[in-house]
Formats: sequence, C-alpha cells, structure tokens
Amino acid sequence: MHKVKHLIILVLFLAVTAVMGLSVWWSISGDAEADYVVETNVPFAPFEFYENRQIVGVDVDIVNRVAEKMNKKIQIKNVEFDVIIDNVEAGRIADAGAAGLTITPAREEKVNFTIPYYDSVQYVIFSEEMPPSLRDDHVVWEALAGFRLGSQIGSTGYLFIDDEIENGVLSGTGTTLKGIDSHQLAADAIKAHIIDFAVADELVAKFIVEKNPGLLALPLYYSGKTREEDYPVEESYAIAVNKERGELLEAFNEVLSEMMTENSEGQTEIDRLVLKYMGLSNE
Amino acid sequence: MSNFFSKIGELFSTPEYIDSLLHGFLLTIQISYFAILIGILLGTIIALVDTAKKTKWTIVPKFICTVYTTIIRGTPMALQLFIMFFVIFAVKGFPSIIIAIVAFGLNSAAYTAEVIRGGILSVDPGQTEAGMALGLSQRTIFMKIVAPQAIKNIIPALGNEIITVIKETAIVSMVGMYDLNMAAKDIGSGQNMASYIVPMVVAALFYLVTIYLITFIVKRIEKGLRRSDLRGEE
Repeated sequence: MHKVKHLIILVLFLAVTAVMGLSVWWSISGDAEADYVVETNVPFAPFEFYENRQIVGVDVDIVNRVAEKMNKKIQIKNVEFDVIIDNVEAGRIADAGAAGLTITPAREEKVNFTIPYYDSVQYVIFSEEMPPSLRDDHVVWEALAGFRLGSQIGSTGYLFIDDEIENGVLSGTGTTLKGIDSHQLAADAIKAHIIDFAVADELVAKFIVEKNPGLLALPLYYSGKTREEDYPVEESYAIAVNKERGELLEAFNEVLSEMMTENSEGQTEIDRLVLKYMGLSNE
Repeated sequence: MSNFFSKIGELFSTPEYIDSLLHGFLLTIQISYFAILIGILLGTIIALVDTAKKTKWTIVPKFICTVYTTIIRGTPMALQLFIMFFVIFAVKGFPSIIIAIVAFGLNSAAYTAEVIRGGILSVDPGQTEAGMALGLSQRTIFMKIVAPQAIKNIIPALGNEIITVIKETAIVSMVGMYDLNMAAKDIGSGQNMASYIVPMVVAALFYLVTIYLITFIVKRIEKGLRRSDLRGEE
C-alpha cells in the first residue's frame, strides 16, 4: 500500500514537472532569434503600452517599419526606464532604445540619437484640493518651490526637476524630489499625500487625469519677464541607437523622415498614430 | 470606499483584465516551480557537503559551499537578479524566463541548504554513535536513522522557503517580465484603470490563495510524518 502511494506521488510530480516544463518551452519558442533588440519601457501610452500582453504603440510601429525596411528581425523588450540608455551604450543586450527618450547632452555622450520625431511638453499633475498657484492656464516653476515633487525615476520630468533644484529657480527653496517607479504611481502618490505634485509628459499626464476624477494636469512653463513671455518646458523625443550601429541609425532616420512628411492636411503619420493609440481617431 | 468596491467589480467584470492576471499568474508559477526544484536539488547537495566529515577530499568543496551561501544570503535578491540579467546572462535574445529561474533557483538553494543542514544537525549525534556501535555502515546510518528524522524538522522550514520564493518572484517585473505583479501594474496604468491600488490588491489575493493552498499541503505532509510522534495532535 505504502509503495503504491509513493509511486502515485512520484508519477504526479513527474507529470506536473513535464507540464510546467512544456509550458515554459512553449513560452520561450515564441521569441525567435532576433537580429536587433530594441528596449522600451511599458506603460508609456500612446508610445508603448500593453494590449493583451503584446507591446504596441507609436514607437513599436516605427520599429516594425524599420525591421520591414532592413528586412531584419527586431525584438522589442520591456525593461526599467533608467537602464535603457546604459544598455544601449553597452550594446551587448540592446542595440537601440525607443521609449519616448528625450535628447539631452548627457545622454548624447553615451548614444546616438535619431532625428526627433515628437515634441512634448511637461505637465504638472496635482490634486483638485491642493492646486499650485496658477498663472492663467499654466504653472511656472516658481509655483512649485517648497513643495514635495515626484516623477518617474530617470524620466525627463525627473531630470528637469533635479536640474532646477540643483542650480535653477528651485535651489535653496526646500523643494524635494522623489523618484517613483512609474508616472502612474506618482499620480497615486499624490492621492496618498506622499508628494504634492507630479511632473510627467503631456500625453501620459492627460491619460492619467482623464481616469482619475480628483486629479488635474496643466502645462509647466519657465517664467519670462512678463506673463506673455512665459515659455513651456519642451522636449523632443528621439530613438537612441548604439554608437556602433550606423546602419540601424540610418534606417531609423530614413523611416522617421518618411513618417514625418506632412500630408495635404498638414498631418504627419506620427500625429495620426498618436491619435489612433490615444483612441481619438477611428482608424 | 464604495468607489474601491466598484473598481474591484470593474476589474472582475473585464475579461481582458482577468486574462492578463491569469497569464501573469502562470509566469509567477512557472518561475517559482522550477526555482524551488533547483533550490531543493542544489540545496540538498550543498547541505550534504556541509555536514560531511572533514577530510582532505571535502575541504575544498566545503569551502566553496560556505562562500556560496555567504554571498547569496548576504546580498539582496533584487541585486542578484540584476546581475544575472545585465552581467552574467547579458546575451542578446537569451530567454528571460530561464534567467529568472536560474537566478531564483540559485538564491533559493543557499537558503534551502541551511534549512536541510539544520534538519540534519538537529538529530542527536548519539544516534549516529549508536548506529556505529551496532556496526552499521555510514550510508545505512544516514539513510535509515538520520534522514527520516531530519525530514520531519526540514519540512516546515522548507514550506516557509517555498512561500518566500513565490512572493519574491514579484521583483521580476523590474526587468520587464509579465508576471502577476506586472499584470497588476499593466491593469493599473494610464490607458486602463489609471490607479494601482485596486489591481495590486487583487494580485495580492492571487498570491494569498496560492500560498494558503501550499501551507495546507505542507501541513498535511507534516501531519503524515508526525503520525508516530508523541508530540500530539495538531
């Protein structure tokens, strides 16, 4: 009797192991050998986000177009945002990074950037109950002085705030900056009173406040001499390519200049894709 | 609060969200299962080497095992995972799931080794001496006298280690893998529910139920092993 019981347990164990092994094997056989690997950071709608666990979005469409043009297989991989530049620089596990990356001098030392394909501005996300002091329809940096700010760690918003605290208008004002796992979590942190304001890219901020009734978002401006001379905190997205992959950079630039040609209505293909993935057009 | 419950309702009534959670759950289970297997196999070997008698043949393996457990237990799992992904297995196109299984397996092995070593040492050395006095071979003493008693002490702590591994795999979302934790983040992101709290709580329920089931099974096994004990019913 005892022997039989042991045998049953052994058979059961082997069967479970076999099924688990097969399921792992099956999930691996999906990732075929790729010629290039492009890293990204999900979720950053509408540029990259999960749809039924597949990464989709504007950046993904650009990468696919390049793959088609070069006739190569390109794999898109999701990683933490702040490791992308370093991985692309090293070039061992990634050849390029497409994650709505803003061109900054520090990043340019490490990687090559393609031509910019999208201009964005920074937005301040805040709670209705505690808005920052506004200047017409925007917020200036000075209005954030002395508050607890937060942004996705390593993101443009994070870098900009850090700059302002180090040697900008926020230095010496007691303003603090918290690096948070994602823009979404930064918005949750406002609701939990961990931070006062979050800074994020325009489209991400709009997505977040649309679904969160208590939250609002307004553009962030540098203050000029007069109200009219205030100018927005702008940035340009580009794709980062490893410095030794000249052919890849060239292909990206070709595809991007094609996609940025305006049609008769003055709209580029990138604009159309942004609208499509934001659910604002019926394409 | 009613908002919280209506959001839970929204999550459970959206098939895509449930689908995402189940797929994430599958990856969590795949990684945990094989990591625990590697942990038990490698952990047993390490424990046997560690408890073996000191001779000129075992001195080097013993040293290696000590260094291994010291390094693994002395550094954070998140760091080990990062090193595995971005240094050791930094090979283009290498499947992430294998790297994760190896990383968690090697980590779990160090802890399991200590659990098993503790179990073996908990058996009174007088019993080994008695076996030797009766003229039994080392092998017979270990297999028939020490091991059966050691297992009783190992199982509860091993159950604890299994639970730890399952929960710890949540950090694979740090390297972009779609596990249960990542599924919650996906559902909580801007284009879906735009709040982390509700999906995180639901993901936590998945972990809780799984771990409750495992605790139940471990308790059953323990009870079976303690049948002949005088320590009483539980």
